[in-house]
Parts: sequence; C-alpha cells; structure tokens
Amino acid sequence: MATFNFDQFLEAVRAGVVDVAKTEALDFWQDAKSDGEAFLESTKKDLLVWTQQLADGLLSTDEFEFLVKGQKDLATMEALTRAGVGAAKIDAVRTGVMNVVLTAALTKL
Amino acid sequence: MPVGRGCDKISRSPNSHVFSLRRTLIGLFLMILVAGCATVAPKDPVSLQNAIGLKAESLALLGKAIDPPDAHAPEIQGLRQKLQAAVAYEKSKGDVNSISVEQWDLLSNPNENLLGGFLRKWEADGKGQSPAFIDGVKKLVTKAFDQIIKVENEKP
Repeated sequence: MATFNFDQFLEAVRAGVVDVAKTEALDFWQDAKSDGEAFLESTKKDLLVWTQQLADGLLSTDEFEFLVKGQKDLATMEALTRAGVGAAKIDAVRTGVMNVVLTAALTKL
Repeated sequence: MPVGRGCDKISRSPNSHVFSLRRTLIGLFLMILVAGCATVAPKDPVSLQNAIGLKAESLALLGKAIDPPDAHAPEIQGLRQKLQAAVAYEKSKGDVNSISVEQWDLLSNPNENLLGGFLRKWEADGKGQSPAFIDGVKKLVTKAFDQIIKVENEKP
C-alpha cells in the first residue's frame, strides 16, 4: 500500500498558504493604501473649493453644511468599500487555501 | 495484539499510521469545507447594471435641479422608487450582502447627505438649487456610486 508522507504534505501546504496569504494581503494593503490616499487628497481639494465658494457667496451656509456632511457620508462609504473588498479577499484566501490543500494532498497520495 | 479501547480491530501494523493519516486528511477537508462558507455574496450583473444605470439617471436629474422640484416631480418620485427597489434587491441576498445594503441605504436615505438627502432638500426648499451646490452634490453622488460599483466588481 502506498504510504503518505505527512511531513511533505504539511510543508507543501505551509508554503502554499504563505504564498496565497502574501499575494492577497499585499494586493489588499497596496489598494487600501493608494485608495485611502486618493480619497484624502480628493476630500481636501473639495473642502477647499467649497470653503472658497462659501466665502464668495456661491454657496449658502446650509448648502456648505450639507456638502461637508455629505463628505462624511462618503468617508463612511469608503470604509464600507474597504470592508467589502476585505471580505472578498478573505473568500479569495479561503479558496486559495482549499486549492493548496487539495493539490498537496493529491500529489502526495 | 490489541492496543487499547477502540483499537480491537487495528493491530499495530506498519500501515496503521496510513489509516489514521487518511482520517486526519478527511477531517481536515471537512473542516475546510464547513468553514468555507462565503463571507460575501457573489458578483451580480443585475446589481452592477442597477448601479451603473441609476448613477447615470441620478446625475441627469441632478443637472435639472436648477429648476424648482415641481417641474420634475415624476422624475424625482421615479428615481426614489428605483433606489428603494435597488435597496430591496440587495437586501434579498441576505446577511452576506450587508455591506452593499449599507452602501445603497446611505446613498438613498433621505436623512443622510447624499442622493436621498439631496432629493429631500430640493423638495423641501421648493426652489431650484444653486449651480455650485449642484456641482458639489454631483461630485459626492458620483463618488458614492463608484464605491458601490467597486464593491460589486470585487465580489468573487
């Protein structure tokens, strides 16, 4: 009867899981960082424009307040996007790990 | 010679570790499968189409907010109904879709300060809105829809 080398199987799984996690985590981190920076930059720009427009009388206080609160809502949207993308990445990692385990098991059996 | 409880039919043979390893593997696979329940709903072309279509429709209506709201009452009501339908559709996918539901809700909620809030303000004011304000809201609404579309596109 063919024997199963459990040590080799575990090592293949460990190496594969590290690869999957690194790839998905790095993608997520890089996207989150660049998206976060872009959002902050865009928020700063918009707030400057609106502040100037308020000073110039192009926006009422009421309208300015609405826009600033809207910007806060947008920040919440952005946070939800991070959470949504993160959850999708978790699913991708889970699928990746399953594939690693199955591949390792089938090649070691 | 038997080796303890549960081992009556298993002798200490060279292949006994193969038998227990197989059980371990099966157990491991079962654990992964059980733990492998999705954390997000799958990507849905209907949701994407809703978001893209409603983004265009919303921005078009915002462009008309220079007029009093009475001039566009059917369009305002129509858009509101479509937004409510979009929220209901996302809710129908269950808890795994909670993030998309929250985003759609934030966008369309009349008590917040995105699209739903703007439509409520426009109607409450009973008059056309200023160009600078409309531009500002258009930017917010565009970005909000883009977030919703991004989340949907990232789903598996």
